[in-house]
Amino acid sequence: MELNLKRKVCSVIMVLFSVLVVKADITDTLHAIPELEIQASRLNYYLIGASVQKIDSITLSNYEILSLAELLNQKSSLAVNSYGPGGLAGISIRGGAAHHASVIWNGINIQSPMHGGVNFSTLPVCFVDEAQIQYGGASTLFGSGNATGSLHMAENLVFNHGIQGEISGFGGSAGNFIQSGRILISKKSWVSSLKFFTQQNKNNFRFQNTEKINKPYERLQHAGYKQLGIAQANKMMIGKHAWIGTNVWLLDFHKDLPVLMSDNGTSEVTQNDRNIMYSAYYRYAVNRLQFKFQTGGFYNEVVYHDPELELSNNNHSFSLINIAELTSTFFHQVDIGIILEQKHEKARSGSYQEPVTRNILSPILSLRYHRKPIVTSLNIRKEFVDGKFIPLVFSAGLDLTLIKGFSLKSQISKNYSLPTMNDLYWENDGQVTGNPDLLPETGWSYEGGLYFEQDNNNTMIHSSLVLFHNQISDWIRWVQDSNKIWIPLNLKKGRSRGIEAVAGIRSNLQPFKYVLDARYSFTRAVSLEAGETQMTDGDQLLYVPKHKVNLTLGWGFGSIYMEYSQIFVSERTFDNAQGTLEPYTLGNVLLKSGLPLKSIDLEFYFSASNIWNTRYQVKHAYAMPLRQFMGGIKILFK
Amino acid sequence: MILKKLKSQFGFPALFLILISCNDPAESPALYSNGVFISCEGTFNASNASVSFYSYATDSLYNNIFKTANSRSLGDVAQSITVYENMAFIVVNNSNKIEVVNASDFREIATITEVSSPRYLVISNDKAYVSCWGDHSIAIIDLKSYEVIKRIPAGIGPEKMIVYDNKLFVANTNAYDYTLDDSTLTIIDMNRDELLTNINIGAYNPVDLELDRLGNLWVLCRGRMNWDSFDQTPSYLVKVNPEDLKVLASYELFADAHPANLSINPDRDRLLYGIFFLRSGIFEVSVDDPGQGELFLDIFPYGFDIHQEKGELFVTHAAADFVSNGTLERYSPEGNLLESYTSGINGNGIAVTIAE
Repeated sequence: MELNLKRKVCSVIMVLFSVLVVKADITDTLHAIPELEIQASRLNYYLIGASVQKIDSITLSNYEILSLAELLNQKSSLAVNSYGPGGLAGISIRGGAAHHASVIWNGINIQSPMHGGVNFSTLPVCFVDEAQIQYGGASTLFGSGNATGSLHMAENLVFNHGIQGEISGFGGSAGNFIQSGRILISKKSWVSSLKFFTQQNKNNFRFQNTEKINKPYERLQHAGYKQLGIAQANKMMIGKHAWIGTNVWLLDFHKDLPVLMSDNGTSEVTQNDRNIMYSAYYRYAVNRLQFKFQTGGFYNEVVYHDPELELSNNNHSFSLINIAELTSTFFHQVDIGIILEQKHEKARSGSYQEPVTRNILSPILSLRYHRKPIVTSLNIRKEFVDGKFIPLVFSAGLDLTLIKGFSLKSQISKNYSLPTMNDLYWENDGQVTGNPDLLPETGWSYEGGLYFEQDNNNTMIHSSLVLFHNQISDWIRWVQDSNKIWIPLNLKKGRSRGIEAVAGIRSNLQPFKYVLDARYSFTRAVSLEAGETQMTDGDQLLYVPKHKVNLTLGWGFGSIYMEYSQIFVSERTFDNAQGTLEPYTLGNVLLKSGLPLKSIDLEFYFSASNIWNTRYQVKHAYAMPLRQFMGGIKILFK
Repeated sequence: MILKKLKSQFGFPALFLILISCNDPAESPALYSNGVFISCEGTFNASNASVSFYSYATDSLYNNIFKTANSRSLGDVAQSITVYENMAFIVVNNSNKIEVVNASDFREIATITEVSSPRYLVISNDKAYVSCWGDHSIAIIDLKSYEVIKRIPAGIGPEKMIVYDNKLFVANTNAYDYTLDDSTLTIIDMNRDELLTNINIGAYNPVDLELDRLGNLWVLCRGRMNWDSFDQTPSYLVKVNPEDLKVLASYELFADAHPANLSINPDRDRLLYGIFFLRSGIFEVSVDDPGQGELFLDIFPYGFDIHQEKGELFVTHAAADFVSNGTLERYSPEGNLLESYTSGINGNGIAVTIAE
């Protein structure tokens, strides 16, 4: 009976897509949205020589129902450490910790001042118009925390595109339902966008419990999540040379936390993440002069509740950031940027004696010289934290065009990462205490690579081979002191070295389209001078895979697009006793098609994840789903 | 990797020598006998608890033997291990289960569920008695079906237990909540599996018990430690007559230190106590001349127990960061360090066993 039902469903899908092949038109979202304005200008303008991966608008559109955690795992070399679908997810760039990777939203750093991390499961891809991953340290330009890389995401509002609207609904395995929509009013001199996203996922997927006797098949219990998000953005021209803009995201995420695979019983623990991010800016640009003033904020509330233990933790943090940037060009070849950043951080928690604050003032000087075949830059940053000086940091980069299409890029940077509020201010409760005497972590980052890029009208080919080396000293680590009280200390030195290789082709030979994107990263991330820990010097750092491979193969015909992606993640160490998680490989399939009608366009979506039914763990003893399906429809109003 | 380097630098002869002389200590013996099992808690909420085995035959410690035998994790916080006949029972506290394995090869036999936050286990008459913090009870398990057949309410946070004359004595400490206190022993009639009585022994938070050579029951009481109000009461060693359940004597140990572990030597005339929160030391007390006792070893252990045949003291130490491998130390009965070994993470429970 069940088999018959599956056959029927498959038949319906096949027929539906066959019809669409005949009817479809060759346009719309299979083309990339042109890059009209890069919000993260510092990244693209002054960070010369660094390896930057742009996740193009097609990919963002194809994977709009995912969280950023899921997308980054599939499409980048980052190690995404997630406690299962919807679970807490942090990123590791080039072997660094989560707090070594800055997360820049519309120019505003949204790392939590309390712990330095960002939960990527709470960030929906459909709110993001541009996403770029910058590999390597860049504290000079993006401040504390950017010791191994950064993720930049932004909304991109384009003038003069008329009025557009869309609404979508998706449903799939394990009780996963998503609804989203957007209204865009784009006039000649102003544009406004409103997006919403809701998700209800029971997340009660079936999995083989390899941590229990006889390895039974079970359904995950108490792991559901609900999400509601609203994104609103505006941009308006003021005269010929200036414009203003605003961005706001409101995100509410409720998650039931499951028990470990090895545990019996069920959990009643829940976690609520509430985020508010806002930004307002003024930009002025004439021929050789650009000025930007931006103010923004990030509010994060995390409520953890364990009814069984009658435990409730309520943590609030707020960052207010003001940025003034002045860029001027001299002699057509030299750009000088003067940037002043001011940041006020505030955090409140039951674990602190009282609300704590921190004020940071950072002047930055950037120089960029460009004369064919060379582009080079030098950036210097001095930071004052509550009136104290942080040693000067700098970065220098080179981009040398060797012959047409081939270039050599290299970057060196000195970086730092301030202790988090938890590190500094956790109140001594007899078991745990903060340490106000902590020093910032400091480090060096070097990289060099050979890049090839060729772009003609129909086909774009790109490839690169990059070698990198990062070192972090005074790494802050929580240990127990002689009184058995947990305390953070500047203990460890960490080093990561590795290779990143990328090859990609994107071809648009109407009516056919072909996509190939292959990425390989080798990361040897080790602890040095492990201090009081017994971790042996030279051991691979926890949850950093040595090898990661991402492969994407796409094929399009008309408005039909199919994509197969495969990732491979090698063995990872999950504790200092050298417990390891087995390597895994996952295959995912995406099928998308458009059907233009008179007043609306329809888009059909189908995906299958983990199609080879791989048993795997990302975090030790946290269940991950076997094969899952998702289908949906989007209506685009013209 | 090392072999590759040797091969590249010295060629095949060096490699051959290494291969014929190498005795890899990580490789577990085929059968576990004549040794000591150590349950290692692992890191809380990380599901990396483990069991180590010390072999007298090879004078080696073999780590992670449960995972080696069963290709799966043991679970979260292995609190204690008990060996009975040819079975080992590993009480996995935060996973709410007890793993039953063949003690010879450590292959899985069963998993006992329906136990809420279990702590310790004793066996008598083909039944296991498990102290459970979750519902403050003693769960009784039929060892034929491995199912819970009865629960008997105990005091707050039933902890260690001991059997005397078919009576089960349960020390009721205060579990997770240090704002609560208990000063009782729960006594269960093991013939009828019914609550016999609860007796107040006049000192807060009984945590461990031993029987001396004269049949007296010694109860270690941690005292109150309220970290919110910094309110403390002294720790005590209390002597109880297990026949008439009368308190015979109480000996104050420390006003501001709270030991959690009590062991007795094979002659049953000398007690060792220790495992403090903010203090080092294992202390020695004679059952004939009790009192605070004397410092026996000035160390900061995480767990200890005495081998009941050899009299050797096995001591576990947690790593400084509590997330790395710990250390097992073996001491002579006189307190001389014999050997030290790298153990699993946060070694705690010690099952001295199988001297064959």
